Formats: sequence, C-alpha cells, structure tokens
Amino acid sequence: MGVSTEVPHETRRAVRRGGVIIDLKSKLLQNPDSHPRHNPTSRAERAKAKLKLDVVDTPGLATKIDFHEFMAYGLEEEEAKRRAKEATEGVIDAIKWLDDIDGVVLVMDSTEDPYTQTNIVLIGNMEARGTTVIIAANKVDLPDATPQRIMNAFPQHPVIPISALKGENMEALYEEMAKRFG
Amino acid sequence: MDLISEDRISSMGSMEKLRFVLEGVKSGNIVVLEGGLTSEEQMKLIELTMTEVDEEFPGIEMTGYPTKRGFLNMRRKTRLTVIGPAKIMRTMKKEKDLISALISAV
Repeated sequence: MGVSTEVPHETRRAVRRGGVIIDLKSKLLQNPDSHPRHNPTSRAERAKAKLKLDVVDTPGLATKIDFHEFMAYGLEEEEAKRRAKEATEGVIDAIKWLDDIDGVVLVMDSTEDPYTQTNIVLIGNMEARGTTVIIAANKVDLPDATPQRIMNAFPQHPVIPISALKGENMEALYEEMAKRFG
Repeated sequence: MDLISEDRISSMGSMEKLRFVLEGVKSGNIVVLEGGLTSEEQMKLIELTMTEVDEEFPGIEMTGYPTKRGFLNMRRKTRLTVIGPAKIMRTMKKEKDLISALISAV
C-alpha cells in the first residue's frame, strides 16, 4: 500500500484501506488437494478461506530519527529535516493505531538482527493486549536472509518467510492471515 | 549515568516515571532503571520521545531484560531497563544475561 524505496521512513503516514478481501476459497475448490490443511470438506476451514479486512499500513516504529540519516541518501538539509519531523509524527501515528486493531502482520527484515528493542516492545505490547501477531520474515530473496533466526527469536508466533519484492510465498502469508484473523 | 533504584520509581505514576527518564536522557545521561519498564511503558516512552525529537535530540536507545512471569504466571515481573541518548550511544547489545553499551564522545 505504501511506496518502497531505499530511503528510511518512506512510509510516514498510516494508510487505511477498507474491505480488502482474501479469497482462498475459490482456489481451494478448484484444487482441493493442493494443501491438506485446507480440504474444502472441512466447514471450519471453508469459513476461514474468505476473509474481509480493513488493512492499515503504518509507518515502522523507531526510538530515534536523525535528519542526518536522510542526508546520507542525498537529500538537502531542509528536506531531510522536514522528513525527520514527518517521520516522528508517523511513529506516533503508528502507536496510536495499535489501540484500534485486531491483528498485526509484523514485517521484519530477514537479513537483520530480529532482537531490536522496537520488535520486542511491539510484540510485548500485542501479547499484553491479546492481539494476534503474524510475523512476515521479508527479503528471503537475498542471500544473507535467515528467517530461521526470527523463528528462533519469537517461537510463540507464526513466522512466514516471504519476499514482498518477488512475491514469493505470499499465498502462505494470506493463508495464515485467513486462519488467524478469521 | 543515573542508576535508579526500584524504590525510587515505584513511588511514581507511569507518566511521571517516563518524564523523569526522558528528562534524564535529554540531559545527556544514561538512565538505568532497576525493576525496569513494562513493554506498555516502553511504547509510551517511544511515543513521548517522538514528541521531543529535534535537531539536537534525535531520540533514544533502549534495551532491557525481558519480563519474567511472577507468582502462578499471573503477574509479569519487569527487570532492568537501560535508556540513553541516541546521539552518544553508538550501539547497545544484549545477550542473555549481559547488556553492553558502546558510547561515543560527544
């Protein structure tokens, strides 16, 4: 839903899209043997195969925002300062949205250390609220991606390795969303 | 570095505690809280920090030991939390029972 670039904090405003439908049902009916967990004869699974969601794409959380970081990507000083200000507002916006959601798909970079304090704080908060968390271990198309490290760090939550860039394994993520959020 | 006893912060309200921490950090101190902050308080601290970020204060670095389950798993026991100014804290690394902070000269 948001724009993706190399510059940090590209998403600085939460974007909400209502009525997004995950429809796994038609696919499963066409190919009922494709996945044993989703046999269409199971009523419970059928009910979860189609899910309507309001999706909110929020800025990522951060404990620090330094305008100098933006300048390293070639932005002029004034533009960097403006972006930094917007990014701080984006983080506040993201935190406020946490009061109003039923489930979280937390996107983590599989090439980075998952034990960041923001990840730990966010997951701790969701657990305290009883909110469902699915972790999307992104960037598995990169050679140094280790989604297993994320699985080891947060074994209490489902972790789905994906590449958003290449569209790899997105079906598995949608299936997990339908199963957990349904 | 300010090493704050659990007794000192337990007498404070949640917001008072966070303001106390942030004022210390904005003054350039590393604040170590015995007893630590809950994940909810840490999230509030991030939110409060973002309202204070400017050209001179880019934010905080924070780490701590995870909460432990208390009596009958009913109450989460928070543990030590370390918070410092991002400007001087180059890295903070946490292993199982050890937190290391690398500080750069201002």
